[in-house]
Amino acid sequence: MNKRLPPCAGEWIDRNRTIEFRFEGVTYQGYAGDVLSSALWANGVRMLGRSFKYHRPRGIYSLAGHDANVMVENGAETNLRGDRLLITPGMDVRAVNTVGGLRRDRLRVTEWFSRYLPVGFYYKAFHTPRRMFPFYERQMRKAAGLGRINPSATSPHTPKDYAFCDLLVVGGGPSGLSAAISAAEQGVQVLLVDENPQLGGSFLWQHARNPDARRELDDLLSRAGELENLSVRLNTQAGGYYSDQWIALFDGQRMTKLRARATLIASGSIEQPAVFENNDLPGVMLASAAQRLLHLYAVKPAESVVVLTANDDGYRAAVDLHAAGVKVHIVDPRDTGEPSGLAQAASAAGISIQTGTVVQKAIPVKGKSGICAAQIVRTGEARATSSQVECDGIIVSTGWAPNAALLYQAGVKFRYAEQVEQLVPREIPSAIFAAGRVNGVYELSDRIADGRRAGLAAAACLGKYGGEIPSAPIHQGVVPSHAYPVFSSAGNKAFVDFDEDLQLVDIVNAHQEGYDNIELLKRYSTAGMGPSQGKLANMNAVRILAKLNGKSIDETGTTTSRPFYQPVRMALLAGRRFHPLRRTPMHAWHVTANAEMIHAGAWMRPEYYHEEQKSRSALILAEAVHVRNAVGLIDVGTLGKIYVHGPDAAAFLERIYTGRFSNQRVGRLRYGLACDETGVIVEDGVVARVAADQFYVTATSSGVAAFYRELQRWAILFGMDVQLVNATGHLTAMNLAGPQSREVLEQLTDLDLAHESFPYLGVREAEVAGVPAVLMRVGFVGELGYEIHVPASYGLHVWTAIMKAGQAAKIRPFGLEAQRLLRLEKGHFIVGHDTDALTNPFEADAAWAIGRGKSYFVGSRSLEIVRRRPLTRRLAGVVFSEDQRTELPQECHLVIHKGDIAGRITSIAPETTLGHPIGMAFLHPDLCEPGQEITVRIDGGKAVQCRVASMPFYDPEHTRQG
Amino acid sequence: MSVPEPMLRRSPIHHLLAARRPEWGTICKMQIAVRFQATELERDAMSTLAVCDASGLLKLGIKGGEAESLLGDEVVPMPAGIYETATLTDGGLIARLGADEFFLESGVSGETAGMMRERLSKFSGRAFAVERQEATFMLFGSRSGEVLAQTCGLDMSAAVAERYLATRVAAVNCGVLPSHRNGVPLYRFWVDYSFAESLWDSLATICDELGGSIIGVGCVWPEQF
Repeated sequence: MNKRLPPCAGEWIDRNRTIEFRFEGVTYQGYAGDVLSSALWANGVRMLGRSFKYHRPRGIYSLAGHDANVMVENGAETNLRGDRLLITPGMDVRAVNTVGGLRRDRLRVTEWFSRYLPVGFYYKAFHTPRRMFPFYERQMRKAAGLGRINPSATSPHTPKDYAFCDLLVVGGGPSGLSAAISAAEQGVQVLLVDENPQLGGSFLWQHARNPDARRELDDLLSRAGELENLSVRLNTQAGGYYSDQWIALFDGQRMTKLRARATLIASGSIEQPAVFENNDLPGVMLASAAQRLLHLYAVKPAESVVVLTANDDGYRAAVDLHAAGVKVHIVDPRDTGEPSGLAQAASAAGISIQTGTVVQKAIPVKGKSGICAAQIVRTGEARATSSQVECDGIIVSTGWAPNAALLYQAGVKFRYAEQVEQLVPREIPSAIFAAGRVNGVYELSDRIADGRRAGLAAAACLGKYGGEIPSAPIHQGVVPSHAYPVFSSAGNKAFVDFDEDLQLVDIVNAHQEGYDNIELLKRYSTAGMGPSQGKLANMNAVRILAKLNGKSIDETGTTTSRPFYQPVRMALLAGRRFHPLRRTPMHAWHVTANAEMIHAGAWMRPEYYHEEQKSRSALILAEAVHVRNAVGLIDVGTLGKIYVHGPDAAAFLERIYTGRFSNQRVGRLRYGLACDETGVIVEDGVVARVAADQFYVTATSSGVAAFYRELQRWAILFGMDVQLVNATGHLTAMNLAGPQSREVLEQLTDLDLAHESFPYLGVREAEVAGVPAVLMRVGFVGELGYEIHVPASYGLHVWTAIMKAGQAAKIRPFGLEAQRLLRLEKGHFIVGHDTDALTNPFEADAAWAIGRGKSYFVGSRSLEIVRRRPLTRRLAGVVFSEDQRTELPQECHLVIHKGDIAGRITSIAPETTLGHPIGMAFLHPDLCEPGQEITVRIDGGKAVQCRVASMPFYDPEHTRQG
Repeated sequence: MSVPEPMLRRSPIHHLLAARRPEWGTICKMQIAVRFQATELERDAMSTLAVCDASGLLKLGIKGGEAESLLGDEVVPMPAGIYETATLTDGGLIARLGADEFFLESGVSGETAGMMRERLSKFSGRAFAVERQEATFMLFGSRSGEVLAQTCGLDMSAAVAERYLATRVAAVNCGVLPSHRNGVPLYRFWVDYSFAESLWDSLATICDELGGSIIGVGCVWPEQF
C-alpha cells in the first residue's frame, strides 16, 4: 500500500483491519472500509479496467460509481462496480470485458481499427452479403457486452419490504441534512437516505480540511441524532421515483418500496469531465475523485498533477493535493483566473497557476496504462503552440451537472441557469422539493440555508409548519461550471462518453449525418446509454449538440431519465416471491397417499395416486375402472361454492343462468349454465334449492372468483333483494361415486339414502360422520354418486371416515385425471376446456339447458340472434379404433376436411373403460352425424382417422346414476 | 349409523405443527398446539417475535338485513361502524364488515359462536348464519412490524388498534386486526382455510429469519392451558 497516506480525520478505512484480496490473480492488501478501486490505487495499481469498445486502459475517474471504468466479476456476480465494492477477506475478482486478462487483453487490437469503427458503424456495415449476417452477428455478440453472466450461479432470495414516512429526504450532504433536520424539528416523520456509508456528503471530501465546515457538520449530525422522528438509512440508493410518491430504495440486501407523503431531493451534483485527447486514461480523474481518495481512503492520487479547473472547487482540490504532498500545477481556462481567495491560498502554498490555458491532451505512457505529461495550450487556440507539463495525473474540475434523475422522474421541469451554467428546477409538482446543488445552490452556507428552506416548505406542505418560509438563496459566487468544457478539436480519443467509447468526433459526425435532435443523437451514437446512464456524458453531449446546432441548452433539451439511478441487482428486484397456493383440507392426506399433486389454477389437486411399478396411464385407468365397478372418492373441495339468499334468490338465478329455477322444488338441484352478455358460456355447475329463499350453487374451480364478482355486479344492477356468500374456502367437498357408494355412505349417516327418498338430482342436509353436511346426488362421472359438502375444518375427518367405511368395498381415492376420463365417457364438457371464449350453448350442444319461454337471462338477447343463424361448429364425440392408441391426436389438433380446417379436438382419452380411445371435438355441423369419418392432423403433419359418435359414450340410457 | 372416530376439526396447518412435535390441547374440537418449548421461552418470544396458530377458535358470519337487530346485547355487542370491532363476553370479538354483515370469532370456549348459531337457526327474520372457516394466526412482539413490512403494503404503524383491516399479506387476502397485548404489538390474521398453509409458511419463514419463534396457545391463554 505504497500510496497510502498517514491517517486523517474522517477517513472511512479501519487501519486496524487489514484485508487480503485478489485482483486479476494478484494478491493485494487493503483496509476494511476500502472499496476495490481505492485499495488497488493504494497499492499503486493504475489500470483497473478496459473500456467497452476500444479496450483502452481505464483507472479511477469519479470514485463515486458515476463511471463504469472499474467493473469486475467474481465468478458468481458480474459488473460489480469497483468504486462501490467494499473489499472483503478472500475476495477474488477479475476485470470484465477482457480476453486474456486485463494487462494482455487481446481485444485491445480493436483500437488499431478504430478509424474503421466510427459512430453507428454497425448500422452501416455487415449487411452484405446477406448470407454472412449470421456470422457477423455472432462475432459482434461475442465482442460486445461487458461481464458474463454465470447461469449456474444462484442468489439467495432477498426480502422486499414496504416502508412509510411523511417525508423522504434523498441525500445526506449539507443541504439534505439541513432539510431533514428542519422538517423533523417541525414534527414531520422524516426518512433520510444516503448511498454512502456515512452522512455528510461533500462535507467529508470537499470541505474535509475546513474546520468550520467540520464543526457545522458535527452540529448537524448532533441535531439529527437527537430527533427521534428522523430515521437514517445509509448505503441506500433511492433508485427510482414512481407515481404517488412511491420510491424504490435499494441497499445491499433488499428493495424497499417506500411510500412517502412528500419527497425532498438533495442529491447534489455530479462532477463532469472535460473533453480533451486521452481524457480517459488512468491518471486522469475528477477533482472530486481525487478528494475522495485523499480524505475518505487516505490514498495519494498521484505524485505530480495538473489540475485543470474552471471553478473554486478545483482550487480547493489543488490545495488539498498540495497538502498531501502532491506536486500541483493549475491550468485555468479563464483568462481572469479564480476570483475567490482560494487562488491566493494556492499561490501562497507555492502552486503554479496558468490562467487562460487548457489541457489539450494527456500524453500517455507506453501501453497507455497511465500518463506522463499534459499538453497545454492557450484557451481557444487549439492549434497554437503547446507546452507540456510532466505529471502522472490530470485532475479535472470544470463543472457539475445536477444529480436530478429522481426529480426528472417525479415530473420536475428544468431550465438552464447561466449564473451557475447548469440546469435547475423550473416547475416542481406539489409535495416534491429540491435543495442544494441539484437546485443550483453551491456555496456551502447557501446549501445549508437552502436545505432549511426546503425542509420547512415540506413541513408546511405536510401541515406541520405554518411559519414563514425563507426564500431560496441565489448563487452569488463563482460560476461553478464551465459553459463548454471541450478543449480538444474534434481529434482522436477525446471522449465524451467513457462507457461507450464515444468521442467528440463521433458526435460531430452524427450531427453531420442529420442527428441534430438530442433524443435521436442519443440513440444513434449511444451517448448516455452505457452502464452509467449518461451521468458523465449527457451534459457534455447536450452542450456539444447545442453548439453544433447554434441553439441554447434549453432549446436543445435533455434526454429522458428513467429508473434506476444506479444499476440494481436483479435478485433485489425479484426479491422474495410470494406464490400462494390453495390446498384443500385433505391435501396432506393426498400427499401421504402418494398422490401426484398438480397445479389446477391456484389449487393443488391430486392428478392420480402412485402405486409401485405402474404407469401413470394404467393408474388413471385403474382408478376410473374402480369407480365404474366399485366405489371411489375424489376430493372436489376446489369447486366453487356460493350461497344465494333472499326473497329474490330464485328470480335472480333465473336471470343469471339459462335455465329455470323459480319452479325448482326445495331439495332438488338442477344444472346451471351461465353466459355473458354476448351469449358465450362462462360458467356451469349445479344449483341446489336448500330452502325457499336459499340456493347453494357450485361453480368451476378456476372460474368461481370471476363468477362471484359477476354475481355481485348483477345483483347490484338488477337491484334485487339477494345476499351472496362465497363459501368456496369455507366449505370443502368430496364426491363418493360408484355402484357401491350408497353402501359406504349409509354407514355414516342417518339420512335415508334409498333412491325413492333421495333420488338423482336431490339435495339434502344431514350429518355425515357426525358433521353437518350438504349432500347432492350428482352424476358427473356417470355413476351413482354423492357429493358431500362440509365445513372445511371437518373435511379431513369426513374424508377419512368415508375411506374407513369403504374399506370393505375396497374404496380407493381417484384423482383429477380419472374424473376427466369418466366425465368424457359420460359426454360432459368442461367449461374453459371443451369450450372457448366464443362458445355459445348451441355450439356446445347444450341448447337443452336454455329454459323455454324465458323472457330474459344474461346473454338471452345475443342467443336469440345466434339461434337464427346457421351453426358453424358443434361439439361432438369422436371414437378411435382400439389399435390407434399409438397415434392419437392431442387436444387442439385440427380436423381437416377437404383440405380445410373443419374443427379441432377439445378432449382426448387414449385409455378408457370402454376399451377404445374417445374424444370430443368441435366439428363443422355437416360432419356431426354419428358414423361420419373425419380426419385429424396430428404432430408431424400425419393424418389419422376417427368416427363421429353420439354422446354419452357410456351409459346413454343413464341407468347407472339412479 | 355409527360415528367411526371422535369428531375433530383440523387446523389447515396441523401437519406442519405436528412435525414440530408440540404439546397438544383442544379448542372447540380442534387439536391445537399448546406449546413447542418451555413456557418461559415462549413467553419471551411473544415479547419480541412469535407466531401462533389459533385456528381452533370458532367463527361465524352473520349476514342479512336484520343482522343488526340480532346483535347489540351484553353478550354480543354491536360494533358501531364498518370495520370496527367489539369484545365478546367469552373473550372473542365481533367485527362489522358491512352495513348488514358481521364476523364473529369466539373465545376459547366457543360459547358465543355456538349461541349465535343457535339463535340464527331459530330466527325467522332476514338474517342468516354464514359458515366462516378461516384460519386464525397471531403475530406477537416488538418486531412483528418487520414481518408485516415484508409481507403487507399497508402502513401498520398508522393502523388504528382494534380496527379490522381487509388487506393482503404475503399475496393472500386477509383480515388483520392490529392490537396490543400487555403493551406488545399483536396482529391477528384471518385467512381463507385453503390459503392458510401458504400464509403460515411465509410468516413462519420470515419470523425465523428475524429470530422469532413459533409458539403454542399456552402463552396466549394461560388460564385455559
